[in-house]
Amino acid sequence: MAWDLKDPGRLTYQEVRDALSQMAEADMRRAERIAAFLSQRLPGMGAEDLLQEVYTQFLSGDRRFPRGIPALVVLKTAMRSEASNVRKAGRASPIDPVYQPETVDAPERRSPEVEHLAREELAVVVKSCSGDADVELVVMAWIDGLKGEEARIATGLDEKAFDAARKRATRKLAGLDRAREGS
Amino acid sequence: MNTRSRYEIQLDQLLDAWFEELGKMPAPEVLAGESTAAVRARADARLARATQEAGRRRLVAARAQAAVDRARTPIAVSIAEARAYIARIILNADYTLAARQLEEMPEEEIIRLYEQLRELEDQ
Repeated sequence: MAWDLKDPGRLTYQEVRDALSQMAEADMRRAERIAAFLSQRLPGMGAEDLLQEVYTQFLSGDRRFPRGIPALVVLKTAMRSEASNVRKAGRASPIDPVYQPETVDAPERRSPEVEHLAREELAVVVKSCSGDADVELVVMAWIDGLKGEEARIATGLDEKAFDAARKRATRKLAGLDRAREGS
Repeated sequence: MNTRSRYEIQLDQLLDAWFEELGKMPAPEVLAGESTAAVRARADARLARATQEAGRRRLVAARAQAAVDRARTPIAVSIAEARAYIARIILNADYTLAARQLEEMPEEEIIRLYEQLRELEDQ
């Protein structure tokens, strides 16, 4: 492949195949769960479509698979990027006429459309955690960029309650609770 | 302005935190009772489909690139050769162009006409 020779910092075609096929089964399942999370309300693309599309982009050379990064991390980043692209390209409905972006931090924004799409995605995530107050607190802390002890302090939960809520939040976002409820 | 929006940053932060937690989740919990063989079979099938589709896309891209390269290839004939080619085509086809006109035609016009005739011939 032409890209094999041009950029030593990216995996070759065969190395990409090896990296994808040699992932542990648990990581393969994690990748599927991330795909399910990212493909919620994605127009015309399900979780399997999203995952297969990034596999295809890596193998066709359209997307770079950096050397030295775990495959699951690379897949997560690629799926996030692809989901964002698909959402922006495939949006058919008009922008919410009521919503007006705030004026603070204005230089950080690209357009009301992009802002609106991201806000919708966040709303879907928060809604998926509704009904469990502690989980909502954890998710809000994560949204604010807080992790570990910082996140726990922000939620106001004690260590035991936070730990339990953190695990429930992870399961909810992974769709594990839905699977259990449906079985 | 090409920076990410506030909500995009928040989404990324959420994804990062959740991703860390998902990585720490024990494998049996991630698998949720599904066999490793079933997960691997699904991943192998995905890789096979992606390999096939990637091959198709590379072929399409290669064909498109070849077409671009062909269009950009400079004319590799001399003016005399181009003029002889045009004269031959005119003789064999129903084109109206006097030999005198061809003799007096500027060189760039010769090349342009040569390209047009070659294109017609290729079609």
